[in-house]
Amino acid sequence: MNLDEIQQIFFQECEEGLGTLETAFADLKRGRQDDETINTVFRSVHSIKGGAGAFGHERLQHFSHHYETVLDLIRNGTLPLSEPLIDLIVAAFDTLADHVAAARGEGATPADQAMLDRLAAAAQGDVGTSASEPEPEAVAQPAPTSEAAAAALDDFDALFAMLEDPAPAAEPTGPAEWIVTIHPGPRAFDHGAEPMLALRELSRMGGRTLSADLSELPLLDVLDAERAYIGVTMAMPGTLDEDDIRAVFDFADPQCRLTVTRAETATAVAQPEVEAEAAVEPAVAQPMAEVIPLPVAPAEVPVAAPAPAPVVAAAPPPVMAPAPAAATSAPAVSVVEAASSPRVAAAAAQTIRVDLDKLDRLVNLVGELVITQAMLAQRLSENEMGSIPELSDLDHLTRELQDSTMAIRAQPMKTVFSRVPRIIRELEVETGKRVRLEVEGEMTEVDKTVVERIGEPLTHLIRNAVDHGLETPADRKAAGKDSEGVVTLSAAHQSGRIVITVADDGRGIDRARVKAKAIERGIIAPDAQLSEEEIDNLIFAPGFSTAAVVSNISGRGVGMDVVRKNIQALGGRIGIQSELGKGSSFSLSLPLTLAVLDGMIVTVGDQTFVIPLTHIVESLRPGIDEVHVVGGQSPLLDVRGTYVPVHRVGEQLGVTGAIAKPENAVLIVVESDQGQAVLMVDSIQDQRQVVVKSLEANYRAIHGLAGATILGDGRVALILDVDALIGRWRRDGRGPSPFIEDMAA
Amino acid sequence: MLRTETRDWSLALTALSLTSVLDTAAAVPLRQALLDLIASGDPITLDGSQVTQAGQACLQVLASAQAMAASIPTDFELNSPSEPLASMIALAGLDSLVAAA
Repeated sequence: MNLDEIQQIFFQECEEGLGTLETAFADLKRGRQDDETINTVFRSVHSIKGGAGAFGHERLQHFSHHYETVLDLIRNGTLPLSEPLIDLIVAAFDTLADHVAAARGEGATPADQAMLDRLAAAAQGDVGTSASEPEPEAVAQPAPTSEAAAAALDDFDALFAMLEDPAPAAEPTGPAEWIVTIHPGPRAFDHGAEPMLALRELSRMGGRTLSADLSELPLLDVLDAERAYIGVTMAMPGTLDEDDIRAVFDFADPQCRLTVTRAETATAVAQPEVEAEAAVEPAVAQPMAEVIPLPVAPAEVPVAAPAPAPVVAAAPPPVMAPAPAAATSAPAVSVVEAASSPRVAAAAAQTIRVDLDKLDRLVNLVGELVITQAMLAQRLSENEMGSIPELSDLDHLTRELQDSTMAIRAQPMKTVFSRVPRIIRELEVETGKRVRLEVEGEMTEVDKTVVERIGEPLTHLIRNAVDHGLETPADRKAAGKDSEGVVTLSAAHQSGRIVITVADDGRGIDRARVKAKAIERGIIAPDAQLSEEEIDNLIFAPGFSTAAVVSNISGRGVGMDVVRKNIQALGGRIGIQSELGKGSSFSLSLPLTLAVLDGMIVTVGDQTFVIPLTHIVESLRPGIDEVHVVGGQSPLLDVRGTYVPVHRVGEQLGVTGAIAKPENAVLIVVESDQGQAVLMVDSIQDQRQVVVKSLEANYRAIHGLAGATILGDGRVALILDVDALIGRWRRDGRGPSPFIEDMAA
Repeated sequence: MLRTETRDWSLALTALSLTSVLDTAAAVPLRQALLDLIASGDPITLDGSQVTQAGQACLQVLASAQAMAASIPTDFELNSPSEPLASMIALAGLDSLVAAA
């Protein structure tokens, strides 16, 4: 793993940390201001700071350091947590998120001076918004945060100046200091990495260097200038958490060897000249529990010298002379014993990061297995062996394996929902509206692909809810509502799908206005008769917008159109419920995974198709009097008094040999985003879960087809994209107008 | 790497000014320059006053050069370290680099 890859992990952890913070802030705002929540916030920021330091993201580190200072004061009770203070740390969080984005190269470095000033003022107890006082002296902080040092932080080199003011020594009565030994791996300088950054971070946390270990340093003539040789022993304040110290090395070179042990006596660290050897001894004496090799490759790691040669002022060059010979004679205590460290084993057992490509390959292979199992079942069935118990067992195991594999790809909606509070905060500022966000079901899990692709449409819906849905505080008061609008975001599993709902308690859809606008824009004819549902769906029409003023939030008439297209591309549907004056609710119904779907296998002529079960309302063989033809158009099926257009799938997809008369065929009533329609097929073969194979990846995208699958007999069956097919037929005029049913009724 | 070279023949010392950026990329040329100096047999005096940035790679080159000079033996001094350089030397626990001066 190279440094870039490790840095990517850092950024992933930043994302997770930011998500955690967002959740914690929601808790704080709900009044859950317990120690654990505050600690969670502190730890997340601290972790980001540590990684930022390790990778040299100075601005991010600088900001998070000052942010952390305020959080620490809250944590230790120096600053009482008030509403303005919560608002401040939430606002600072947004700046932190911008810094993280900038560090990833996804945006400009934010201008943070105003926020830093506010944080500095807050650290002194002033939580106003116009703080202009210089940054205060660090209040009970281990790291020196003088104004001069802070200002100098923009300059990489000036950072070093901060090192000269070490933290106060540990109190004799407090916990014993930590003794930390660090041996960077030989390739610690690869890819521009700088081990000193981690030492500098330790120094900021109040650490001080005790000694250097030069036992592995060769003389200059045989020294490889691009290989790391020297180790360092530092003393850290005993009040720090061990995890916080170790967190500094989360992103260190994987071969870095680190030990963190308690100094046995306070006096040992009070006298640097004496303690160098004495303090290090515990690290050597009890390495079993303490050595953490960040993913170690033991064969490549040079032998550790357990007792670093102390270098003190009184011992000039001769002390440094022990070179390679000394190193080779030292026993490999740290590395060998680290491999059996229970701490490492315990940590490794909890989570593991897996490359997504590997996971997708596994999912694909399981898909192939499912297909092969179906083929085997069919072959056995043809030979009258379809009921053998082994086949049933295999079927059961295959299904379980498939479910388990899919579960690995499942992620909670929280990863998407956690971005919403910030969007709401920004919208509040932009619109002047007051919004309370309520979130439900954020732990509902769904396939990673869905999680990744739902973000954009969800953002549009949230923006739409605040910008169009909610009224201004004045209008709300006039309408007898609370001046603070409520946007509810929820996720839940329903019938094998996930339903995500964005609801607001705003003004609701003014259908008369929507219809007038649609007529004005030429989207519908002036005399069109539309149901309420159809009027609501007009807001998804391309080019439709009722916003009087086009803002940068919404109103360009592209957002909702894009929302529907994105949702459809995910195999989902979108529904609207709205009541004038009371609010609107947009429900997105999405498949839990895009890899498999439940489908009805139908035949049309000599072809086999799959119709996704989610679209199917019912299927029937019509009586001769249930199908009517009006004005030479396609036939209409009388479904309990409502006339629904019938589409001959065979005719419209160019399949030969399909049944022509509806009364001889099977009619399948489907629900599409254009309303109900009927698909006419020859017969129904089966209903089962099929593995979806991408047409784009294996052939090319075809309008009207959502993909393909391989049946048990080895044949390929195409999966119909019901929404796209019906939409096209209606646009091409091959089917009846969607409004005929109303007229007929 | 060694930006300027002045010879003070009255002291029979080789005084060298270290360049401002002693990052990892600077370590290879610094090593070679110091090897050349040690090979000359002259006492070595380095001026660290211009250094604004120093990383571990260059610090260990300096420490290794100091050890090698001591083994010959040849005098080795690092004078007037700038604040950034002194800070990093202290952080790396290499105080003897300066203390020897």
